[in-house]
Parts: sequence; structure tokens; C-alpha cells
Amino acid sequence: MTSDAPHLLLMGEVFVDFTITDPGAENKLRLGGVAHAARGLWALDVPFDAAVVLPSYLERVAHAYFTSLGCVKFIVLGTVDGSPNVTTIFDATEVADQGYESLLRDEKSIRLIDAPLPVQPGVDALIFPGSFDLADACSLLPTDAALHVDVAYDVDRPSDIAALSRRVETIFLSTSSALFIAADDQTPAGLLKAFKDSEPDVLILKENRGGSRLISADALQVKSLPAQLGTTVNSVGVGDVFAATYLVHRRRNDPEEAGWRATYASAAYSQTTFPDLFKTYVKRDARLSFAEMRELAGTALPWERRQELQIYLAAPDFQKADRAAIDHALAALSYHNFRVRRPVVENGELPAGSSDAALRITYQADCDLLRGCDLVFAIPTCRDPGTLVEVGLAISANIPVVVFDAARENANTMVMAGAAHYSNNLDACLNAVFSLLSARRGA
Amino acid sequence: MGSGGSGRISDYPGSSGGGPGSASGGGGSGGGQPQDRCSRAFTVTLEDIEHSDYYSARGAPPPAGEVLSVTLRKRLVAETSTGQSVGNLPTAFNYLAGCLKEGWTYTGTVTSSASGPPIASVSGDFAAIPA
Repeated sequence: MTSDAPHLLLMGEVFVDFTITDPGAENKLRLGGVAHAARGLWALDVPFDAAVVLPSYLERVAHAYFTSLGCVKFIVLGTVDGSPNVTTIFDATEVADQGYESLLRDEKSIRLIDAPLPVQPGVDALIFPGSFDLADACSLLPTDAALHVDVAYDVDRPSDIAALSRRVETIFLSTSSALFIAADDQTPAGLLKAFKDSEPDVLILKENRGGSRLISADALQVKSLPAQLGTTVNSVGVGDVFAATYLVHRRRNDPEEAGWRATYASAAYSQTTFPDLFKTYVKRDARLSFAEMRELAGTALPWERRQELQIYLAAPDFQKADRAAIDHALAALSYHNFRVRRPVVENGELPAGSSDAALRITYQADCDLLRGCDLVFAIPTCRDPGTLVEVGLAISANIPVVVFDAARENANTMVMAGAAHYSNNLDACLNAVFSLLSARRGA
Repeated sequence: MGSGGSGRISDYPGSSGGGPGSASGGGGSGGGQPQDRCSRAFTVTLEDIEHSDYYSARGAPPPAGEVLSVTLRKRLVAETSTGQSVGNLPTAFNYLAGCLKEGWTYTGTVTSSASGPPIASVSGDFAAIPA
């Protein structure tokens, strides 16, 4: 192995990602899995090796594709049988759970090779666990390889990483992962404790639109890495690009700068699926100094903090109402761990013909609840008068209002100009919630 | 039935990423060629008006029709032709910092302006001018 050999190895499965879009729009098909991280390295002009697990029918096309991205050695680490490794995705913007569906996953089996991987000694191995045996795969790496493991999927418990008996330098954990959701203690200290047997140098918690946190093990230092929110086109693989970009910059800069640059690259990846345009964005962002990035700031809203910031749901949240937009928004806010206060649920749904006293008591209780909240999320379905009054009350109380008007039934001056954000797009409304609460938290 | 979007892998580097099977459109949805985010015109509601040079000097935001441009100070700032800041751009526009470094410029006008209460507000429309 020469010293010119790539110092980065990507290890993981290759999938075909098939995003199902709304009727009338073109569906999207591209290579997924470890291919997302490969695109991130290509955008930085960093050559790499890849050890991939895939069905044999994908070998030729994946080899050609990875080579076009700068892959030097394309190593088939394992073969998938019984499944095409096709993932269908129903929500490419991740306003809520993306609804991944891996076809024929229960029929899937994997045969790993049984030979050491011909890669550079001391290589930085960025590993995306999958259906393959992680310990067996890692045993094929040079003994001095540095492991960087993204545990977003297919790792059941922290002890699975400790069992690798290898030096683990970086653990990437996502708030979207089952591993994080199942954690007893979701604070930085609690997460470090959960992974203490692996002794990582750094644990990075990726918190979706709320940014990320870089947690260093030695002194329990926590650095905030704010998100750069924009219009999401496709968020699939964004976390993988973050991890790849972080590793490249970590070799050149301190970990915090590497993290900031990773947030910019991952934002760029979410905003286009054109590879050349993505690379243009990455190159352009590289013109910014670290100091300039920090001054520009971004959106930071830690996962556990979101439960302390209350969101008032102004909507006809009634059992027999048209609930499509309401349920969609509630699922999104819940997915992102926001604490939504629902006056109709908490203070009651009054039947028609209720007494004047009952109406006044409920009105006052709803007003009190609203005034105690940090933001009002309004869904004025069918121009619901109660919702519009609540919007007005919030505006006059200086509480920011985000209006999600799916059918654009309320495109009215007072609603649109009075609200902090008005849109028929839930992705945009969700970004506004994060931005407004992040600013309120920082104020 | 021949969905144009699933025939083959086509988002190779240098391919422009369009064509069947890959994403297309402004950022990746729908038809057409990709549109660089630097080249997009935009409408923005500025932030922190009361802390701007203009408001501090005059006690009010600039009126509709005032010509503005975008510049990078610590934050991205909209300023008048005399260099007085009017307000910050929201962080969702941070991508413009890289565009400015590359030579793009953004000029526009105030489309609405109010002194409040509760707070002063300024909105503007901006067009992108390539280097």
C-alpha cells in the first residue's frame, strides 16, 4: 500500500433509493446507502476507497458510479441475496418520519467475504452499519484503522459498538434513530455514558433541523453546530454527507470547524439532488472562513430543550373536523419532540348549545393556555373562526404565530402580515418553528 | 407503464443530474434544468430593524421604494445606497454569503415598511446579479 492510497474508507450497504412523489411529479431514483457519503467526498475532491455490501445485480452500475465519484478501490465486502436492496421513501423532506420501506427485507441474507480488506494502514473507516454482521466486517479492517461509526440505523444497543474491540474515534448518532429514542438518558452526558465502553473521542448528536452537538469525551465539552435551514428538496442521506464532510475537515481543522463545515455541506445536499449543483454549493461555502460561519449563526434547538418550549395548537382540533392537515402537522411536531398544547383536548370540546358559563370558562382557559406558550401554530382549516381569533390574540400578545394554511383558504392581509410565517407548505412552516423558537431561546 | 423517473441511474457527475430517474427541477423536483440558488430573486422580511443604522439615526425604518443591497458584515445585512444598515437577513439566507464571495450582488427595494407597534418591520424584493 502506498502513502498515496486514500486515507478514507467508506463501509456500508448500497441501496437503490426510490422516492415516491405526489401524483404529477416525477419520482426519483438514485443510488443510496453509502452512496450519499460518497457524493459528499466527491464534492470535496477527496478520493476514497469503498467496501460495499450489495446485491450482485447492482455491482456493475455501483462500481461505475462510485468510480465516477473518485472511488479508487471498489471492494465488494458482501453480497445481498433475497432482496433487491430497494428502499422506497414517501417523505423526502422529513417533516415527519420518512416512511422508509426496504423491499423484501425479511428475505434478505448477506454473505461477507473472508479476506482482509486491501486498504491503507491506519485508514479512517467511516462505517454505516446495515444488515451485515458489523463485528465480522470490522475484523477485516487493518488493526490500526480508526473507526467512525454512524449508528443511525441497524445498531440495537451501544454495547454492539463496544463489542467491536476496535478503536472508535467518532460516533454519529441521530435523534431520528431508534437507538436514540430508546436511550434512557438523552442528554449529552447520558449519551456519552451509554457509549463509554467504546471510549469515543467525540460523539456527534445530529438533531435534524435543530442543528447538531459535538460532544467531546475528555472534558464533556458540548459545542453547538447550528443548522443552516433552507427549502428542503430531499433530506435523504443528509446525515451521511454530514459524517463524510466532518471526517475530511477533521483532518485539516479542529473538530468544531469540521462540524460547522459539515452542517453547511449537509444543508447543500438537502437543497438539490443535482450532483454538480451540490458540488458548486460546497465549493462556494468553502470560501467562507470559520469565523464568518460562526458570525452568520444558524438555528440551534437541542432535542430536550424542545420539550420546555410550548407550542399552542390553534386549529379546529375536533373529533369530527377535517383532520388531514391537523394530523399531518401534529405528527411532524411530535416527531421533532415539540411539546404541543392542544386546548380542545386539554380544556374540552364543547357540544353545540353549551351554556354561556361553560363557553366563558373554556374561553378563559384557552386564553390562559395560549398566553403561557412560546409560539402559536395555527391551522385554520375551513376558515375556522376560533382559530383566527386565537391568531389575533397571539399577535396582540407578541407571541410568534406560524400559520399552516394547507388549502390557502385564509390568504388574508391580517393573517399573512400578522403572522411571523404563513405558508401552505408544512416543510416551510416547520423551518419557521425551529427558527423562531431558536431565536426566542437565544433572546 | 414507463415512469420516466425510474429507468436508470443517471445522476453521474457532469450529467447535470437531469434525465430520467434522477431528480430534476430547481433543486430536484419536477422538470427543467437545475437553478443555482445564487441566481434566485427573493422576497425577505428583515430582522432586528430597531438595531440598524437607519432606524437608530431616524427613529423609523426606510419607506417603500428605498433602494437596498445585501452585504456581508457579521450577519447578512440589507443596507441603503449610503451604506446604512436597515436590518439583518434571516439565517435561512446564509447561503448568500458564499454567493457574495463569488461576486454575485443583490439589489432591491423596500416593498413595505412599518414602525410598529409591536415592532418595526421592513420587507423587500431583491434580484440577483451575476459577477
